[in-house]
Amino acid sequence: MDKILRIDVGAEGGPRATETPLGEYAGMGGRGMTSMVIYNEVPPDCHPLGPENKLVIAPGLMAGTAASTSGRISIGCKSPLTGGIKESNSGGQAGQVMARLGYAAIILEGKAPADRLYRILINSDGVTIMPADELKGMLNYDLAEKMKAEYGEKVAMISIGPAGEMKMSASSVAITDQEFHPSRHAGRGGPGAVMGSKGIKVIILDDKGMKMRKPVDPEKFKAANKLFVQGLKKHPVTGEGLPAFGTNVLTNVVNEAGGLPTYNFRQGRFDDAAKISGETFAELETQRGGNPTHGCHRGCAIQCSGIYMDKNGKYLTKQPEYETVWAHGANCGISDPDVIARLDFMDDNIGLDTIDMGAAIGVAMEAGLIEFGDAEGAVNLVEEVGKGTPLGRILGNGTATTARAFGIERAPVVKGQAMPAYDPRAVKGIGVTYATSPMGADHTAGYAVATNLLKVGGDVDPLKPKGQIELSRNLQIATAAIDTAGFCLFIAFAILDQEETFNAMLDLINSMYGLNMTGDDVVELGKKVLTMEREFNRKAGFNAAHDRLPHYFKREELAPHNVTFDVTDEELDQVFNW
Amino acid sequence: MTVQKSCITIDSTDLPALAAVLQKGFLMEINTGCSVRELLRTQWKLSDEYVARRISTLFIDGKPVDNLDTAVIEEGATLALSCAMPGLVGAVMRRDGLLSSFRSGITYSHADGNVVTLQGRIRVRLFNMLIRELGPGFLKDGIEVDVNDLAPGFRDKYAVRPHHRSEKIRIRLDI
Repeated sequence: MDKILRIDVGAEGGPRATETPLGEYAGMGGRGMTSMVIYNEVPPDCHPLGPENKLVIAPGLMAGTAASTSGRISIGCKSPLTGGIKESNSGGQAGQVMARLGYAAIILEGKAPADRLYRILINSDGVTIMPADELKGMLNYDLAEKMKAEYGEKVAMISIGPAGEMKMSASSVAITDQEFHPSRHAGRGGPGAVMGSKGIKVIILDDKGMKMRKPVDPEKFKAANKLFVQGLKKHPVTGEGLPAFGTNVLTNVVNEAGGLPTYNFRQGRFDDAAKISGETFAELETQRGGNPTHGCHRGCAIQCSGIYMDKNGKYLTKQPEYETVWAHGANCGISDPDVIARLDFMDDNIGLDTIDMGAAIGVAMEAGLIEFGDAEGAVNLVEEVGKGTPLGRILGNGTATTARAFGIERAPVVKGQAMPAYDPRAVKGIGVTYATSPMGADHTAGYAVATNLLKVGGDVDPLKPKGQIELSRNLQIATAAIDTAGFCLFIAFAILDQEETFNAMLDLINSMYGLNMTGDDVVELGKKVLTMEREFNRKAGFNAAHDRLPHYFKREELAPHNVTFDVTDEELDQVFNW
Repeated sequence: MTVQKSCITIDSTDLPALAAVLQKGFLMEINTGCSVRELLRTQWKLSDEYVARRISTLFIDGKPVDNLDTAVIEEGATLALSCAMPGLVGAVMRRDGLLSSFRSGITYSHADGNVVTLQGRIRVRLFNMLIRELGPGFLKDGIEVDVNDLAPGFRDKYAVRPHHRSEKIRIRLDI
């Protein structure tokens, strides 16, 4: 990956592509790349839908190699939802294909011609940009069928649905999986709207004729990859739980802990959790001829995704993730897996962040638009979003906008972004991350990665409440580094528990690039990325007051444990104290 | 007058139909007032090695448990058992994990006071891989479930008709 592709969408005569060397971006990938470009090149006070904003698409450093579970892609911008810096991460095929084409980043920049849409084809011959007004309003699945017919199914597609074209703040960028379904999404923070503002409907990546990226030290790489895969396979999370049940394996456990946000975060338990658990979905999929064990990109050793069929054995959607099952399920009082699957498909098709959509519908239910548990009502609301009706535009701009429009205090958002599927009152440490992450309320920003191995800030006593602040800091640093490498965050448990697997991961990176990185270097990389993100946000107008949860989380006790969020503001302000 | 069955015997082909019930919870008779360790090891005959390797996450009344030797099972408690869970929250809920401080507000702690030892009933919930690994063993001894929690197809197969809201029925696996 030795070049950057810049697409100036406002160039005279139509969008123009230019390739440049990496320059100052050498050594960066994934989130490190997107955040560094946004930090360096986007004025923090610009309008997210204006010409000064950029959409940066960057595979991780290890994408396109034979390293297992390394195909994640990052999409970055100034977020229309939060107004701060955004890195939105996704699985699917695009990361690997883009890396094999040699691009460390694709940057969409400039002012798009009004009311025009374009498609971009990138292959070994170069870059072709074509008018695509005939694709206006096309749903992602219909678009995928059309692109497959034109280019075959071995290509990778990056696209926006109608929501992105309408520049809704909760709109996603869709990425095709191995079956060419547009089922993987860079959902958080509205990157679809920025892609829409640049007039780009679809990017087709075709790596035909390109080879796997070769490591500097092939023997060391091969040995490290073997150990890495062994480590992933033998661990009960990555080798059993996730492949068998997917991320929705969490529903029962989080519900048991009283941390599953239910009825718009009113309580932490959903009586019907077992009806929508990962265990139940897996059984249903198997009975109907689906597949609960499936990789979102080739070469993944974990295979946590799946294929969900309808009652007639026809493909309906990917296996809904935990976040979708929660957002459209427990949060809205819906307990029918088929309805949740249908809503998942609609989110993917229209191009929406499933978390913000489910949370927005939860707020709409609280406002009395429809009742909690009204499954058909929820489907109708998402349809409104797809059609762009006035109500649909309110919902499609996310939870905070919906709450404001209907006069609801109880909007579960931080920096304008909806909280995911863990109530911060039950799991206060994750509340610390929700509050302080530069991304807004984000559950992946502070993932568990080898805190004891990395020893950021010294050893932490995990049993002391003070430990939550330091742990959140450590985890956010480590996650930023993992997002830069392009590994799936689900490797976290295996590398946390098994030192040899963590070392194998380091060896993979080192042997790929001829480096000698240590755990300390990983930490420094993570800190560098977070420092840039925080500084961008500061210049965009963010301060300590934005690193807070909504006040009602301090006031309202969450059943069944009757807990509130009582981490102090002073403690929250200590998270980024380097 | 129709007399409700109080006990049904199933075979292994019925196990998938009971997965939801095992998740929602079933009643077991045990000697309460003991530590979790004692319950798992002595009463349920699970080896320490199995417990350490497979039961990574455990709740009493919804509170994550860290110490199996000091956590006490009292009459009427709900005990939920799970394998290791993914992600940050999976790590947070894990027994005696590095990130347990993240959920310090809900962590189980044994209330001081006298513990009464007596024959009693608790509710048990099994999640993920433990449904298949432990479910048959519990069913072999017999479990008690709420009739309304049984899937309609299963109720039809065994002609089980709920007569009132909280009706229970005993189910045993014929091995």
